[in-house]
Amino acid sequence: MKLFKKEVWIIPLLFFTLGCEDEIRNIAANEGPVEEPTEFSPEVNPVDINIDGFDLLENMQGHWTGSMRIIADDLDWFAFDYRPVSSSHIFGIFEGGSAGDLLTSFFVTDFKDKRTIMARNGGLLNGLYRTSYFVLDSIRYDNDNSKYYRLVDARGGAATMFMELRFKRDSLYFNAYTSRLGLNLVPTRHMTFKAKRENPDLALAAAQYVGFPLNEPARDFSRGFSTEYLYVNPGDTEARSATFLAEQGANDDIFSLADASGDPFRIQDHPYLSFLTVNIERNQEINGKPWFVYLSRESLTDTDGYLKEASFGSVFRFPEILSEYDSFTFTYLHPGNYFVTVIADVNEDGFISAGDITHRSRWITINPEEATAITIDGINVRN
Amino acid sequence: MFFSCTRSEPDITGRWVIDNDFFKATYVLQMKEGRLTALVLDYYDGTTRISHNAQNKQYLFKNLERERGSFIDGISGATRKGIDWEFRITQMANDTLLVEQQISGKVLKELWVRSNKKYETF
Repeated sequence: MKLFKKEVWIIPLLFFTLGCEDEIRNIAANEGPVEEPTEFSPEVNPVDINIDGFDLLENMQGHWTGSMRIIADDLDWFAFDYRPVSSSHIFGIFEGGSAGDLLTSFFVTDFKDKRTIMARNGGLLNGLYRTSYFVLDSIRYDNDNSKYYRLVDARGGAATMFMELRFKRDSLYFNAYTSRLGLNLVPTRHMTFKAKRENPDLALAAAQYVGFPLNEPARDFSRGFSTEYLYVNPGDTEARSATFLAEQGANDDIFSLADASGDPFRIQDHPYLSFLTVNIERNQEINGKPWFVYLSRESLTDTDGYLKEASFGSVFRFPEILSEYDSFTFTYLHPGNYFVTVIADVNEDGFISAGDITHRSRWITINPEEATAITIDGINVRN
Repeated sequence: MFFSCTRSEPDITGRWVIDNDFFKATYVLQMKEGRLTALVLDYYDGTTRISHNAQNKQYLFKNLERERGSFIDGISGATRKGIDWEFRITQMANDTLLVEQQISGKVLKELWVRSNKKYETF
């Protein structure tokens, strides 16, 4: 394991991408010396949620489905499943599969003498463990009865990176802007997610179970962040971001990486969430093929195992697994009931398409804070 | 009667719009000292809104030069894909521009459509 601390080399850091080496240019490069900062000057002023902003947690609840642009890649369909995991913490994750995952959770904390909301964004992506912390720093009410929230890097502020969310009834506009952890002078749009809230009942059920929402800290950051583990860009003398990194070695898992990175809010510290390991039994038709494993609200197949396209809107997670693996573990999994569907990507086009092989969707119940396993066999229905 | 042998370059200056699923924007392309700039008239991506005014003058890009039938800006060193520009603007038709932006080793392609609205910049 290689640990990223102050003196480390340049790492292409991602807010949300599948392998970046550079950063998007600002949508608007300001003119003149007034607009463009010439040096790092962090300014972070948390919103006091005792006054306003606490409702961000409630607004996040739901299975959000919509379209996504990740830098230069447009995805017609994408989903985040946001459910409470404690009385003051709500969690959603993108599970990419073999490439890794990317989460963003929102929780109540105390920071800089304010009761406020932080976001924890990161994951294990392409062998790099990263967690970055953001703090709510502004709220806006728009004329169309929507409400806007901005969360900025808890150390570098908006100059380093920030995320914006706007809720209008059951619509969500979620944008993220990054600067390669402060290497670029101005953050630029990195992710755009436009979504509708589908079926909030699962989030509401979880809320009832964990007593959500309460205005009480889910994690205490009243003393700020320990600077010992904060990532520092090469050539800098101090961190520009509240970011923790660790590079995955051959024997590292998410637990050891969380420890190594110095992440102050590790996966081990999260209540309620569970794990699910899906094993597949290969057969002659799917040997050596990559596969998808979908968790969904509805069965994705009919009783004969043929895919039902109309049910794909109920998918919560949709990782893609490389051909060399016969097993995959979902982490940070919301407890509840799921259909599990494995689809062998027989033509290896990276999509679910004609000729791919599947099976009848299987039903599984995930209990809180449990590690469950399921083996999927009989993957032999060619669609 | 004389005919010029020099083919005049198409004029792409003026007001251009883009409106897709992720954002909408209006830009004004201007030539300044032989270089193409894109002034942001308005921009909205669902959360961030930019409106041009005298106090808020922002650009998508500056310093694009005509080269190889397009306007490009040079970046230091070619990427691993051999692309040596960050922005490339190519006129596809009188009213359509192909705007390519290299981001993280990928190329984002968008079409801008000419707007005949008059504009006022400060």
